[in-house]
Amino acid sequence: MRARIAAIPIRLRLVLAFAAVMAVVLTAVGLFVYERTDANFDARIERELAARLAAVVAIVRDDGDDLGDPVQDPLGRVDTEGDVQVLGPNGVVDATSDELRQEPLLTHEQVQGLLRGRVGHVDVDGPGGHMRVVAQRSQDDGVRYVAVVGASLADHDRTLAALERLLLVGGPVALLISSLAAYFVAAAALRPVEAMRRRAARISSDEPGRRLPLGPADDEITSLARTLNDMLARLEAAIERERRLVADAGHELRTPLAILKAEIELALEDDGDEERLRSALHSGGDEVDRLSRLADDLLVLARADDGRLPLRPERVAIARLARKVATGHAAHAGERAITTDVPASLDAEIDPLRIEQALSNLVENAIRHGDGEIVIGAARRGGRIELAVSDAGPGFPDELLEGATERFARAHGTAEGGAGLGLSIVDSIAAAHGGTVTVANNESGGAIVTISVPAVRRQTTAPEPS
Amino acid sequence: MRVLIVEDEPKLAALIRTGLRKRGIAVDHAGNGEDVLWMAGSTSYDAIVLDVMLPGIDGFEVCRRLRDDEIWTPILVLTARDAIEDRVEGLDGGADDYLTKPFAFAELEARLRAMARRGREPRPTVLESGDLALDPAARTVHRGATGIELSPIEFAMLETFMSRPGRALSRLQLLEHVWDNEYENRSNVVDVYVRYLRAKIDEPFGTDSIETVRGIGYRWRGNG
Repeated sequence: MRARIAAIPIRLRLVLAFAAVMAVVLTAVGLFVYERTDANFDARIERELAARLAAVVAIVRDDGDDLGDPVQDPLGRVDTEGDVQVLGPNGVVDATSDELRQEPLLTHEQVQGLLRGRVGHVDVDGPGGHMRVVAQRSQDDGVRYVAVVGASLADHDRTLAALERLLLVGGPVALLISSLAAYFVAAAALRPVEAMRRRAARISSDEPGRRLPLGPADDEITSLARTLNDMLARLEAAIERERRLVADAGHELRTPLAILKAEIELALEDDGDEERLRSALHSGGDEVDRLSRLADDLLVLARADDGRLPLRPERVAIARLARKVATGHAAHAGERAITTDVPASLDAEIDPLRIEQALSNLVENAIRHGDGEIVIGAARRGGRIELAVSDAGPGFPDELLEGATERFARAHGTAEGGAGLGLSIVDSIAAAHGGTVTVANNESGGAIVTISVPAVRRQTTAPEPS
Repeated sequence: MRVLIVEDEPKLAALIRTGLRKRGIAVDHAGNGEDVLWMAGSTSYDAIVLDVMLPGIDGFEVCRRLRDDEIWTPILVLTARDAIEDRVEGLDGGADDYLTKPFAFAELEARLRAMARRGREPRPTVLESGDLALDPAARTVHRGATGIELSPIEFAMLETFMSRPGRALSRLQLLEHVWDNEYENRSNVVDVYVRYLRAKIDEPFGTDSIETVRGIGYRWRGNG
């Protein structure tokens, strides 16, 4: 049932709900008005009948006549229109306002019912039409009699019938008109939504600059459009980032490929020279390594973007990890020393391979772009472990400090090597651990990059997409 | 033939050098933009092979500065960047040709030879005459600091005049350079446009750049 209602278009649903409420309200108002009108009439007739009864009793008393005498005239004075009868003790009509009508207005049982107070009045269809009749017991000079007075209900009936007709016809008409109005109001209210839908249907990644129209009013629909536009802007930025990454990756692949192609072409040209061939193959091998590293890096970044950078956290002694990184790079650091500055007791719950990769990237950067001694340091700060790699070189150029962890970010004038992916991989690894990376220059001017990760891994934390 | 290779990746530079030397081309190497500026200024190379991603000033900027220094050595941009915007920027900045990495030596050599044949004639990207400057890429004309709005026909005619200073140009020559074959009405349209041009580039400035050559046509006097 709920599903069936949900399947009705919202415009129709609004109108149906409105119509239902409107029908209840109209019915209630109609019934109320009808009842009030009826009650008003009843009260008036009640008062009229009471006044007449009193008049009849007064006439009978003042008349001084015996009841046996016809008192037609005096009774007629009460109300020529009304019906008045005076009944003797045996129920015989003693006097009546209309000589022609000697028939009792009421049956004996009806009179008894009235006198005993079982009912307040009786409605009868007498010869004078529909009328309401009341009776009262009284006595004059020791003679008991019953005064019976009737009043026509024609007015009452006519008015109520007219009112009923009015309500039965006017109610549905009012319902119909207001429902139609509700339909158009709903349609007007939903028009901005339709405009948004039409524009949204035309927005594609080909024209990412397009936005949904904002209405002039500051209402829910405008704020929805604004929210959706913000979302579009974020998606556009993400698409743009992705596009740039792909383009940059393409350019990065071209240099090693150009070297490979040149090597092969030249090697093919000087046939026979084994020494030359051997060196070409060595060089080609290096370039293939460079291409594979680039491919690996891009893969890590793509996974990190999807939040799927797999982590295998375990309790790791940081000092040993740092020493491993230091010795691993000692060979190509030349004469520059790589030292570690890590408390022996320090350990943390991290993925040793990923953190090693991050530290390696940092040391690699320090070897390539920095100068002087390279220090791998670590310390505990509250619930976090801070791992830092610093050197005594010229530090990061100012223009690079801001976006150093962006992909393919490279200092202007960096001559050799490096696709500019190292730091963004460090950033992704830190983010996967729920941590951050800070890029700075220390007091002596050398570069210092700090990775800050929680010392204990929370079980429930999913790696945050960077 | 002697060429200057500008490439910041040492390995690739060495390979290009080896490859071109084998083909009998003398090769010098520069690793950054600053070196290129003085090397190209002091030696008259037949061509320059220029990488875009250079330390310091980038390849496009090197290109512009060389042309500003009136060094007209043909430049071939050799780069990994192959987006259309990059090519346009390079060529409009004064480069003569564009080749993307990876490349084949045969093609590099052929392009270098083709460029060397064209020689070192001045090929300014912005035509200048007195204080009048016309930039074909930006499609702007300036007299001093004042910008001048020209219609496409007027612009084409001014470009024709300014690229042939001091030469008398017949009405027919002007017609051929400015209008295409589709255009049939060859009455006095040249005179009409010369009048428009004078009204825009000369009269407001009190100059007289376009000289009437009786019986032939017009001549660009320039600083008139």
